[in-house]
Amino acid sequence: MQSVSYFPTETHFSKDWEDLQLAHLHNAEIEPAHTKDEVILDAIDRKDALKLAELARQSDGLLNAHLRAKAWPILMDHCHSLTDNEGFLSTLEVNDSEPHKDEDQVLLDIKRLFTILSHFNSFSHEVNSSYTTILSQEDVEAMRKRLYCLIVKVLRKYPCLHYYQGFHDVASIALMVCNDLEDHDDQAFAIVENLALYHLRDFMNPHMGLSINHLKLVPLILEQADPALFQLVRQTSSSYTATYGAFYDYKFFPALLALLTMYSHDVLSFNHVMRVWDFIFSFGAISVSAYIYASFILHSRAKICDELGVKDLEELSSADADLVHKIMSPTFLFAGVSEADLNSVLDKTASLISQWPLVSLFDSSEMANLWFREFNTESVVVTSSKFESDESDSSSVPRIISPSDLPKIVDIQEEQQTKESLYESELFQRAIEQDSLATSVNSLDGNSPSALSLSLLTNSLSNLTAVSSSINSRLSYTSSVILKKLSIQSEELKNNKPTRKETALSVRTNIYKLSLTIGLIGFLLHFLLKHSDVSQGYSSKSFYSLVRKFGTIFSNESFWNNRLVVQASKSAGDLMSAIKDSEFSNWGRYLPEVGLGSVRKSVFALEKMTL
Amino acid sequence: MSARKKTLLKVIVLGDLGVGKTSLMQQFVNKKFSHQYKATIGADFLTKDLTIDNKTVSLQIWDTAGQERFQSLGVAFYRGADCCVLCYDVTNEKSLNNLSSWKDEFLVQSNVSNPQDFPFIIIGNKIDVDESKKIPSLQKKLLNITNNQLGGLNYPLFETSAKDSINVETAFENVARMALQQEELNGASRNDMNDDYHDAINIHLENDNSGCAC
Ligand SMILES: Nc1nc2c(ncn2[C@@H]2O[C@H](COP(=O)(O)OP(=O)(O)OP(=O)(O)O)[C@@H](O)[C@H]2O)c(=O)[nH]1
Ligand SMILES: [Mg+2]
Repeated sequence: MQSVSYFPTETHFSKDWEDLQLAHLHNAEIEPAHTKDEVILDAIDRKDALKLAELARQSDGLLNAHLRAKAWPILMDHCHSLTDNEGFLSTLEVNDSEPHKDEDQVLLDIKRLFTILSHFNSFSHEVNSSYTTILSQEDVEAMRKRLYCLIVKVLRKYPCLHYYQGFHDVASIALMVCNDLEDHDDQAFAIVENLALYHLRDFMNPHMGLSINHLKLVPLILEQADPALFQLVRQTSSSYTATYGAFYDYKFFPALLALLTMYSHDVLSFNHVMRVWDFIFSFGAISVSAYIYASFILHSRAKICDELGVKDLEELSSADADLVHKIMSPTFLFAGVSEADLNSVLDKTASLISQWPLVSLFDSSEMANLWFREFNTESVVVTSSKFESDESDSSSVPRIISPSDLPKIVDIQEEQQTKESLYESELFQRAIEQDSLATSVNSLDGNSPSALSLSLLTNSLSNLTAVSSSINSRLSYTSSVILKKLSIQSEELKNNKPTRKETALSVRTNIYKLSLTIGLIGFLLHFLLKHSDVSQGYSSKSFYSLVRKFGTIFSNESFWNNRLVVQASKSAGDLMSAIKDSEFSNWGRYLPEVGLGSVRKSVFALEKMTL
Repeated sequence: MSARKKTLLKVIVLGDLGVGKTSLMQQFVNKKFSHQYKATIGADFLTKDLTIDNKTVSLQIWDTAGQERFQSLGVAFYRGADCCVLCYDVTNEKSLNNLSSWKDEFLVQSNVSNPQDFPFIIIGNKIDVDESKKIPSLQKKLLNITNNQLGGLNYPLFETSAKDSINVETAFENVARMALQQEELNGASRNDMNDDYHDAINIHLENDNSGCAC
């Protein structure tokens, strides 16, 4: 790239210019009036990551793709240096290594990735850009092929990482930014590899829960920065509504697309994406993505109020959950974002980060503390997001991950995540049992079960199953815990020699819990079937033993000890015979309906009997 | 309550990745097709007003992601649905075989009150492609699947092309009609049950600022 002089080219000026440069060499204190790209080039030459970070946060960022291609690796290396990079590339040809299981999927996604073309068009309008060629169809095809190779290379080098849709968007940005370099593919690989290991690793875990944890940061930030907006988000969330306010899981789905793709999936224009990446890399922390998202929401507050039809959120008495999802989604939030908007969003982000750094978020919320400090100690939110300030302290040297370490880390992360989701589902169940179920049962006191409580029950039930369905391991364990708990409670009630009224209540409690259990079992069986290969002997064996286990529990008269319950166990029996009647291959499809259907049937039957 | 008064119908479009869910929606709502739709991540909806039997309804159509790893997120989007569209690609047998598991997933994750007779509709997309590329003996396989795997229920079935705009309009008009029925059914039982779950959620800004304690 030609460096354009800031000064006119007359000779007497030239002399001054040389003097200045000499002065600069001798005494770094005197800063000559360089153009910004010279300053950036200079910082690149000196590998001055701190200077680059400062420049990257300024309003025009690192100016252009050419400079970014050189500056980003320095910014990234500053935070997390990579090991044996060349080793892999020189000795190991892509063709020699085992194919990764996700390669077909990569191909499918890249076929649909036409955005490369539109990005290149926006490239050519860029000032100072050397990308002026209009790409032909063949060029686009060539780009696609290179993109495919790039992703496959990363996947084959780290087979324990899983490809996710959106990773190809990220990789395409790296490829385009590096396009002008001589060793463009190697440079792009270095950037994408660094991203995969230190920033996107959570998203490449088989467990989706790790990605979802990143979403939780957005409401956490809003909670501090704008309580009214936080309320809006919380009260329209599915966990909060399902538990009638007893439990909020902070899972903020509208941000999924932007966070997984680092804003590169048709979310912002290419130049804006590069600005955002400058900003994220300047902090060396992927969690900055979440801060940016929160900042976008804060920035759009007026637009949000407009859409909700109020002047201020305080006026709002109710909100539609779907509408709130829409106005918190990228298509609404980022529509028509201007240069000025982006600058103010990023400025705001910087102040959010300094006002409420991750540490303070974790300190302020018991739940966040649990998610990131107890359960997910290996999450990139924790390991790569320290927010090193300009005076970086060398004592916290970031850990370097080698290809041989990675599988262990991925395993640990998955295990941690499984534990967390089990814990969460227990919280959720407790919230439902203690809150909505308790209130629905209590409200029945002296009355027959009303339609309202029935609907409450089915709501809780299907929400419970829905939420739990994201957990595909050790479900039977959880359910037996629930059954045990139920039996203990019913024993307690019996031992206390309850009065007539109390007996009635306890019966109803049991009915509800039994119904809940039936539904739960329905979906458990469904799940067991779905997630294990039905044709294998193993699963059918475990399936039968499970059926038998539940069967004994339901037919155990002393456990339920009430004639009403016989009716209910009959519907449990219906469930079982339905299972037997249906063809083996159809079980998995039939069960969820049986589960829900029996609940309703049993409750209606009981209702009739109590009247 | 008021949001529901103007008969908003919520429709969820499901199916394997790449079967053309986004394309179908775009064709129906915006009357255009392009090969440029990228893989859908997360979920978002488009709305379109149309008149069904002299009644104006607002169809809120949710486009979802087909990749398996995103399937567990449905719980956040499926609630309150009035109709579910199951899509497959007539050139992709796997997408056909997966229809029933999409249906299951929907029933497990959604909050429908009548799982047995909840309205589903099946769309086979990409019929514009060359006959040679289509699934061999498709009709037989289809019959097999609708008769057996989907619990013996015969759902309305449409073959479409999002590319050439064949049958898309008709299919979605049917979707709207079925959704309307479901919504009327739900509306009636909702009044009965006094259930406010599906309605707008109350926001209590002043008294509930303490944050979640759990
Ligand atoms: N020939 C033909 N191609 C189609 C048709 N509909 C969609 N396609 C193509 O199929 C591919 C996938 O279409 P999408 O609409 O993105 O598929 P999707 O179901 O939304 O996929 P996900 O978002 O990943 O779940 C694209 O390349 C479309 O151009 C059609 O009717 N005919
Ligand atoms: Mg799509």
